Amino acid sequence: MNMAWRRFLVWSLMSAGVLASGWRAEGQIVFEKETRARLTRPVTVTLEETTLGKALAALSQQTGLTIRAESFLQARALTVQIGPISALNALNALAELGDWQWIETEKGVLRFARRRLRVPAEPAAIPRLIQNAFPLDLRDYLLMPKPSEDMTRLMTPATRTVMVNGPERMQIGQHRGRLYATCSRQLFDRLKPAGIESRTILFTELTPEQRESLIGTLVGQILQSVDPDLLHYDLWPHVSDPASTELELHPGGLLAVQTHIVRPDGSRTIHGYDVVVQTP
Amino acid sequence: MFDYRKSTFTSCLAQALCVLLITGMPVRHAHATPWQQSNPGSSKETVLLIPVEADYRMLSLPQITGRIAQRYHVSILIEGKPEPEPLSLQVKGTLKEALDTIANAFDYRWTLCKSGVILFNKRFQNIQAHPQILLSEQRQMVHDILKSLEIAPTSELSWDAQIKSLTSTFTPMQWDALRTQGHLFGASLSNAQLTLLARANYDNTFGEQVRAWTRLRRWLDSLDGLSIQYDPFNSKAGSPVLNLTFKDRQGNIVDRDTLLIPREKQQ
Repeated sequence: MNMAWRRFLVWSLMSAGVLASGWRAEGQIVFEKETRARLTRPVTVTLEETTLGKALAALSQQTGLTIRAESFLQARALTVQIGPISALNALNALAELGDWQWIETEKGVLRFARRRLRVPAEPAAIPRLIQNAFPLDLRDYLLMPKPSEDMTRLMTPATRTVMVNGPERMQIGQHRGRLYATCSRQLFDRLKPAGIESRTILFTELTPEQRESLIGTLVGQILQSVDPDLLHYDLWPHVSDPASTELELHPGGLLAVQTHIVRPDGSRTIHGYDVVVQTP
Repeated sequence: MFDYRKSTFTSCLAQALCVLLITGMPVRHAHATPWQQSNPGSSKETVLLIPVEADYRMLSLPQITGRIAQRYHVSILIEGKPEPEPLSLQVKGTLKEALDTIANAFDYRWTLCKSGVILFNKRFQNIQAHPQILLSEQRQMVHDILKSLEIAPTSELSWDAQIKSLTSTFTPMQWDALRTQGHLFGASLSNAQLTLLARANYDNTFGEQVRAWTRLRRWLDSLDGLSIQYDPFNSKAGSPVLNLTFKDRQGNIVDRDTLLIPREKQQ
């Protein structure tokens, strides 16, 4: 066998292997051959004030695929005015709308889920994992960044200080307080017609709107009680890298466990905590 | 006899065929919108340059975008429930300018996604607007947050007790450095000391988060047993108060909470 035929054989085997295992699309997702064919079908969906579950059901009907969202995403409200576009484009756009992802779990079955971060399971990754757990609209509302998988971009002490002490931090605080203020006021106003001022009301009696206000209030209350740093930034240097921690002894046995941060303009700030310890 | 030209041609043909098969060429062409199909060579951004002139009278956001989608053959997705109040809008210019006007009016932002679909996401500049709060999704969020927080190693001791435990391991030289130089860096501690310090730092940072999110999980898991009571006599700073009592399925109280209601709507 001459060289050309050998090369042809190698290429043919490689391409056959790729085709047998599926199709490589955006995000390195591999689809079954049959799924791939169905994803090329043009779809048209017009649904006003619908839910993700219903939108995916419409796409399932038009493609012959089984497309489902995780149960906790089914009730997400949205409006769909698409088509004719390929089912693949429709699914990718829907996923981008809520920062979700979709995968083929078995032949002809696609599942919508929250985007998963591929970050190492170590404490330094915790802030990003927490940020990623928030639905996209709540993240936007709280001015949270889109969590990055690139762990090499951990904030330097200098850039962090600029952000933490800048106007952005005040704005973040206002937005956290706003969720509680808006939802609790809305809850009270929605409970008044039900007679809250004269009787005890049970959760089981609440309307969907009253429930949404109540849950928003509870979430808002917790958001107000936690340190916002983990929701917006990476860890402070003394936490992500304990070797950089500075222990400083003050009169009265007060030991400061802290990070000294030098700003670009040369000024310094300190972040950490104090403990009174016994000195020998 | 070996024909070099023929073999090279065959090989190249095979390679080209394989590349076409792997990249899925037929699918890419099937994605074009009718507007793009009638304008071959147009990129997805070009659609934004279409001239638009319209006078929308008392229409909701989905009604306006519905008309745009139909007239200009574009696909649109809107996140959430738009405000039900209809608006009157006049738009004149490119589609991009029209979308800017419409999104601004309804407190949304828009983007053209990779698939060529126009996405509308809420902007929350309206002070009364808030994101969708779904019980099942919030439960999942809390579950995922608590799962993430499990990554950090924890200790039976509180963070201040851990620091006290750390200082009890300090050598006379380390104490001397603290007293004379005023400070000691983590890098100069032994590995065992550094582990103690790291755990204290983690607990100081994550401990409060674990307690707070665990409390929210408790609340969300016992909503079916929740009762809400108005308490006009317990109001602080002149605000109404709602007392919440959470009970489990057996009727045992699992938690209580007090909601201070802002007196006036925020403007």
